[in-house]
Amino acid sequence: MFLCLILPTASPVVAVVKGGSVTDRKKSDAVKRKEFEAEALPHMDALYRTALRLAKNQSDAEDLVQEAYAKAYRFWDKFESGSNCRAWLFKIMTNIFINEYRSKSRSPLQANIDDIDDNYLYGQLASSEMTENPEQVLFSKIFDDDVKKAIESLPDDFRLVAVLSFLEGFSYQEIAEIADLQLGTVKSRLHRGRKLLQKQLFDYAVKNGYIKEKAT
Amino acid sequence: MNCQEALDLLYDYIDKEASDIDAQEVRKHLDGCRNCFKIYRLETAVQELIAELVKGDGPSPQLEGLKEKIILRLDGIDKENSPGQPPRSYSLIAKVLVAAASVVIVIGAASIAYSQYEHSKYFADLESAHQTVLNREWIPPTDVAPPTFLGLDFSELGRAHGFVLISSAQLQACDCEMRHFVYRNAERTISVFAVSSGDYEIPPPCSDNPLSHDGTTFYCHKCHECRLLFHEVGNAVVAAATTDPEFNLFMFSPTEDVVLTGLSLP
Repeated sequence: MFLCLILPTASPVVAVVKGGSVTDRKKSDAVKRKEFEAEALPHMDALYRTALRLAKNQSDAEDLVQEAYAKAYRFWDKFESGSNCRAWLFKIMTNIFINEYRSKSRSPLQANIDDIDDNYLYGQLASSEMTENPEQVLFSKIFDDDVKKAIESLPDDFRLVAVLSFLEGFSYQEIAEIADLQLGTVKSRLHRGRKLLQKQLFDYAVKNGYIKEKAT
Repeated sequence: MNCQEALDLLYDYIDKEASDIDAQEVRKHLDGCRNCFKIYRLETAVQELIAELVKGDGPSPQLEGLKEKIILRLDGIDKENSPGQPPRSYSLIAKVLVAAASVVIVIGAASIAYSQYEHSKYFADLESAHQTVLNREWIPPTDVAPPTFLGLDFSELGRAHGFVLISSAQLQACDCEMRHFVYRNAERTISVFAVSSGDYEIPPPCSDNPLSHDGTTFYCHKCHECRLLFHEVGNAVVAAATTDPEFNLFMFSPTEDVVLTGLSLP
């Protein structure tokens, strides 16, 4: 028992003896660090872009990305080299977002989603006077800011799948793995997210006078 | 394929998720149906409008700043993980120890023995109890002990995250009486151990590294397979165990309104 009192001060040398036996398979730290930087850091732009849409402000987005990288680095041993590093990083960041940032309250919007028609924008535009090329109206009038606002107005659960699909181009299956959801849930959230997005975009367009709402 | 069938598959088609046969059918329908084609065109236009956002977020000086912060974080983690860097004042001691090589080996062996002892004293029982419930063959005991223990109600714990309490059992572990609660959702099984703080102290390898969250102090430890998170609630020590590295461990405050929240470890 007396030994354990002595040991902590002697640890600089002892650690070497210990380290050799416990961590045989561990890569040397320098190699690990180099590998991590080469494989994981190039995805920072995409992670930040998504974090910004998820957290809605720069400071939280930066925190989210930093947390994700710190966690990824700690678990780098668990990453199977050759598999999809980008998806793995997104999964880690999504997990942190869900556990720590996602607002606990349910948005009242959700109750009304099913009242929105499919292909909502088309329905609205087709019934307005400009029937031939409704998308031209959209392209010429709606600004990035409106689109950003529309995305940010989505409830967290829908925003997450929408951003992963529309902005980052992940497949349904990849999103299911990243967000830990059933494939069916991914599809239904995307579908409903689209409806909400289209309604928001239309409402902005009407509010700003780009489009006249159909006379009722 | 009629209009309704084509429109039902439209998003799968746009997202390139439709099967080859379906995609072919949708394409054929769109070629022949002006109305559906207009819908398709508008839907892809909206999609492109949203995708445009990505281009607007090109590289900025701010991202360079973020990269530097991440590098610093990684440096910090490297430093924590390399106990082999002795402070300057140790170098003399180290030299003496290197000279007396045989002594070092003896101490080294003792150190491993001591760490084994520490492990078995504080963690091994908890780890193996958690491993048991991860076994597919494991069936929750039918004689379930009451979910209230040391004045804490563990039945509600976990519900906020979709975890259901499936077992509550007495456990003789680490030389004391514990209660082992098992929670499960579709993907994961979490063990929670509760013990009187008079019987069980937070293990030294943990208590050297406290981390604080919402005013509560937690102590975490990585076992061979598990991660364990300890903290004190009232007169109880509560430990959560998981083997899932992707999963944030829980903070438990059974007495508070928010009973369970993910806690990201540093």
